[in-house]
Amino acid sequence: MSHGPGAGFKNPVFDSQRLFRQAMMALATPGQICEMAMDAEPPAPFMAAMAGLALCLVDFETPLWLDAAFDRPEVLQYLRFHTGARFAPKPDAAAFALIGHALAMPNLSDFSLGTLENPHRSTDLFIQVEYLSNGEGPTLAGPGVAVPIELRAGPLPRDFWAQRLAMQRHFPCGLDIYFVCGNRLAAVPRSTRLMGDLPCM
Amino acid sequence: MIESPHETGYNFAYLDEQTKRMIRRAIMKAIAIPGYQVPFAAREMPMPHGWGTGGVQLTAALLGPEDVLKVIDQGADDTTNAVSIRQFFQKTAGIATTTRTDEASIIQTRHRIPEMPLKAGQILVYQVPIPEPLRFLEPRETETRKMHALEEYGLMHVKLYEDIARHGYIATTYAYPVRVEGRYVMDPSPIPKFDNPKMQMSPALQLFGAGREKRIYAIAPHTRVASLDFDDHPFKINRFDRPCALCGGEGVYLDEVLMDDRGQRMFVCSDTSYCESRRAMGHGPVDASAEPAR
Amino acid sequence: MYVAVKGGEKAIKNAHQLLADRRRGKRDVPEISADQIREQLSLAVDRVMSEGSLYDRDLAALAIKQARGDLIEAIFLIRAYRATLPRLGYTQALSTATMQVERRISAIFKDLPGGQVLGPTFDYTHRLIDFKLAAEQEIASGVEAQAQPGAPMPKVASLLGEEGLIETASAADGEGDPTEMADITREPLSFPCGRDLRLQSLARADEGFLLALAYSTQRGYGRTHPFVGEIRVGAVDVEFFVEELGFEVPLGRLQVTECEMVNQFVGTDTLAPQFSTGYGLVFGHCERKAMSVALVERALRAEEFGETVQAPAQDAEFVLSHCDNVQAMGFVEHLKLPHYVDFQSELQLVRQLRKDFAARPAQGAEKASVK
Repeated sequence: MSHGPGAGFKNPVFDSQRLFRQAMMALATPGQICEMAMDAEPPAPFMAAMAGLALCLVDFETPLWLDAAFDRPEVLQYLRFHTGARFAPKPDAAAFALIGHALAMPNLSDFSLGTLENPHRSTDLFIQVEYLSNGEGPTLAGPGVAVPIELRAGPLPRDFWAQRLAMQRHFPCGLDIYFVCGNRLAAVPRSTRLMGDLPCM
Repeated sequence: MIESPHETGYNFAYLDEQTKRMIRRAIMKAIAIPGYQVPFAAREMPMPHGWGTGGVQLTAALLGPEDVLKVIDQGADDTTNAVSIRQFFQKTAGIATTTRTDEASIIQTRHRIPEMPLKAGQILVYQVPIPEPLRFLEPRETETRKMHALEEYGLMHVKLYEDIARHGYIATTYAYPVRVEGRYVMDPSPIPKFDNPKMQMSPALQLFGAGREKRIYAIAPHTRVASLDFDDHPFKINRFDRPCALCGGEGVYLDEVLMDDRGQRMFVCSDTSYCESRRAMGHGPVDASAEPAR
Repeated sequence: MYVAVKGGEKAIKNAHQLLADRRRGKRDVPEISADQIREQLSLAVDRVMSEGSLYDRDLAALAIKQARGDLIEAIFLIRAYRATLPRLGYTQALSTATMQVERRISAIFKDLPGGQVLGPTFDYTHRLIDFKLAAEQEIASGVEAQAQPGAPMPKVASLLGEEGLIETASAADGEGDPTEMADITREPLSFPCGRDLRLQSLARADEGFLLALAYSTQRGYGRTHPFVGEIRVGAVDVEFFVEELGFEVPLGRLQVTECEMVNQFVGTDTLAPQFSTGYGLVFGHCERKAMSVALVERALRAEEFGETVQAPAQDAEFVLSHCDNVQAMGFVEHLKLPHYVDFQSELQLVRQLRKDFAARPAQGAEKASVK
């Protein structure tokens, strides 16, 4: 039995514009949790905001890496059909990485951090999590953060935030990380500084 | 469902979706690396390079049907190029426009930052002619790229210090370089240095587009933006020694308007929207007579 | 009482109306049609197609009409139009060796397989104004000549190549997969850049700028010892590989001008002496442009051949950053836009500097005048 891919944007021009603005504001205000309303019908394990990010940012110019949770025929078919995505064989060859099962994700340093001359040639991580809230997490500060804010996201590998902290000294190289939970989104760009003691996840 | 309102056969806000997506990705990188110039494949726009194609491409990638757009050039909504760009988006996107700073969700500007403080959620889009602050010290992109990578900004400091040695102060009055969040030295576009302090910790998102040079850069809200200076020569802005001759506004940037050929001149707000709103509130000239020549 | 200038909108509208009026000129003279431009100003059309990077004669002719004959303005119209066209795919590389030739000359051999074909050229015309042209007249149709009818016309470079006397193009030069080629319209130029990006940039570069640079190499600013190996003008087939079908389908034909310069190269410690090449390919019949591209292209390969980069024409960043007339015209002409805010800052500064200067003891003036 064969199914066509699930529905993408109802109105590609305006849906992608709206979702892009929501994702952009999330990135511009790290730690703030933003709504990303989506009415597409992506296959499992896509959460709504994850599909939103992928459909509004990915295309044939941006190699995509999928973790084992996403690496399924329905997902490949859906992304190929709606975005024309090409797939990267290795995490560090990807412009975007879709991570459905964060506990099993590669180390952060396995992705591309860009170079000092071209720091923008890095991998953006889209990570699906089961909970996402402000409070009881690492404290974020830096550009876009008016008042230091705690972000609780997970479950994540135990040393996720320690890896992220270690990466700070490589700035401007680094990773821009987007956490997705249902139709909500929060971002931690590379410019964000982690403060204080890191909670163990 | 909203359809593109244009009569021209082009996409909503002119650009095709593929181009918008490419620009949007560059915007995201720019926000994540404040002050770093992200290369992007700028398209040819139906207006000349140097006339705001970078800003126009940013605005086109940002705009949605709910946006309210304000366009200024030299601080004024009614300068010919501002009018032309505003009409372009009215025609291709059918969006609402305004001249009021507080009503706008996106403000595209050339050479000024509005006097009225911007709010969280607003986006200020700058048109940039030469995005590279080191360009006039080192014309080669291959070299300046290395200098940014290694944070080698000595050349810039030497240049500024030579000014101090010769004149007693830094003789750069516009496009005065800034350092963003202690890392990248950035060209703020040719705004007068009077406007530089407005960039520091602004709650608005600031995006910079250089179409001809194919670069996009950004300052996230609440980001440290310091004008370059020295401990013994701190950055200072020039204040005008008189208020606006129309609205009496003080501490604002003024245009010098020649009144006749005998040296009569007056000084009025460069931000026309600010001036109008003050006059609408009943403010008027502090001293109605135009200043005589010096 | 001073009132700030208003009415930009109205002024713009009036200016556009005046422009349309002046474009039309005196109404008792018949209006020129795009067809007339396409057929009778065909070299202008070719230049607009070539620098506008869009092969469409009708559109180029219309752009010339709309631009009142200002070719850079017409090129700009075409570029802006093409920028939003969807990219459907990449064709196979053109085969100029199988071109249907209307003109083909070589300066390095007296005769050669396929022969010399002069074709429609200004060469050897006496540049005397033909006053008869002022009146309409019947023109006899031209005689299409092929020196040796039916004979194949191999590329001159391939004739030299048999002896190993000339460098052969490598895969990086464009023999490879067309989808692996860099695309000047899809990524910003960065340096150092490969031959694909270089040739694409030069193909759409301003003819006048390239002509002057090419000329400078002949006068010693980056000398390349050039010979015209071959210039050929004619029609080539455009083919598209359709994945679903598994073979190439013809899309149509393009007229192109190709120039291969053959340049002396004495060799280095690691490279054997052989002739090197500079290459130029442009849309339409644009011979001067194709030759200039080939000369500048070779000059830009200086580093490859271990030559010292010292002349402007050898400096890739300089040449490629400034060769685009749409970019150049925009930035030069943007100085017409109001700059009074920045000028106000400069006014304040110069007044301050003058005040400081006047307050200085007299030696200040001496110092300044020495400078």
